[in-house]
Amino acid sequence: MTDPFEKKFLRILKRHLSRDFPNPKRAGCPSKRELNLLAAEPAKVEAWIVEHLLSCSPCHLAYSRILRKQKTKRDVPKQSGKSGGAAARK
Amino acid sequence: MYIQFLTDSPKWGIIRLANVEPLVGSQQSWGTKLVLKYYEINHLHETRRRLLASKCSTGYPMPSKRETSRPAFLLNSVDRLGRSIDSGVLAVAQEISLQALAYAEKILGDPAIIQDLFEEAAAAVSEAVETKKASGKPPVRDLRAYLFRAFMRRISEERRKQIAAMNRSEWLDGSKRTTQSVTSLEMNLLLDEVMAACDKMTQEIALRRLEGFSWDEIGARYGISAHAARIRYSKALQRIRKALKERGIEG
Repeated sequence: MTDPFEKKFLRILKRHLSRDFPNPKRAGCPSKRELNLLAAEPAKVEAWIVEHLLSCSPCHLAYSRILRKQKTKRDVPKQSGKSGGAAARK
Repeated sequence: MYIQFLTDSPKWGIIRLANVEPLVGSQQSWGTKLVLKYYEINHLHETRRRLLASKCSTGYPMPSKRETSRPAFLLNSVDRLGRSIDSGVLAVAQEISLQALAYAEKILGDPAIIQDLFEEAAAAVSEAVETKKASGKPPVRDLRAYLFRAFMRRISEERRKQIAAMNRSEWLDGSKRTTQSVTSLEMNLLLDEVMAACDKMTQEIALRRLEGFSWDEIGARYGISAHAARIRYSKALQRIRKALKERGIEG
């Protein structure tokens, strides 16, 4: 990440998403299973879940934890080019 | 060899002495002239200790100024969350407590919070020590430094919380509202607008970028090339940059 604007943008976005949307009653939150599915196979998850993550701090923090775990486990599928991706989607 | 004897007043309890040598040629009785190389006093208040020291004047180490101004710190064997503290860690904690607490007091100020955090750090360290033992990993090399670092981490975290709470109260107060906080509020609103206008994939890409995912990783997850993922995201960034300029907020 070399662009200083991107750095600043991500810093502000992270702070904003993790602090400014307290949802103590967890109204309208997706289940943990759905968050795990979003992390593993984002194409299979409905759009409202991603939208919800942008307006619910507890869910955003939970999803961040899942992504961090995924990153440390290096649980990322190997890139096989555009055609491979298309085949995977079929 | 340990020698136990009662002091003048039974209220003072029992004093256990080790390596006690009577002064050669002294005609004085036992209780008054002794060379104490090591002593341990149970359940005695600091003043009683000092009184006792004045009785056994020869060879008794004078209490330092720091010790006299601060009562002896007694660490609980259980922290506020109910976790128990290992005896080894407890001993180390007692050893560093005076210095660590004095230092932390300069940063935080409230001794009650500091004591809680110290106990919490000690409990966390004992837990870590136990885990290492159980998993067969090498033990902590320098327990003092390890405990001190754990404690200082908690102190800085608490300090950060205090500062955040102060900022929040200033914001609610309204009188101290700064132009900077207004700008950050506008910035947040703008971020919400721009992010909401993006499609699902771009939004998720931004979330992954927050966690430091590389373009290759993101592309692989969506089955697109790293370049395509980057282009999508760059377009969203461009929109934000443009909107910031239009509203006169510095990027």
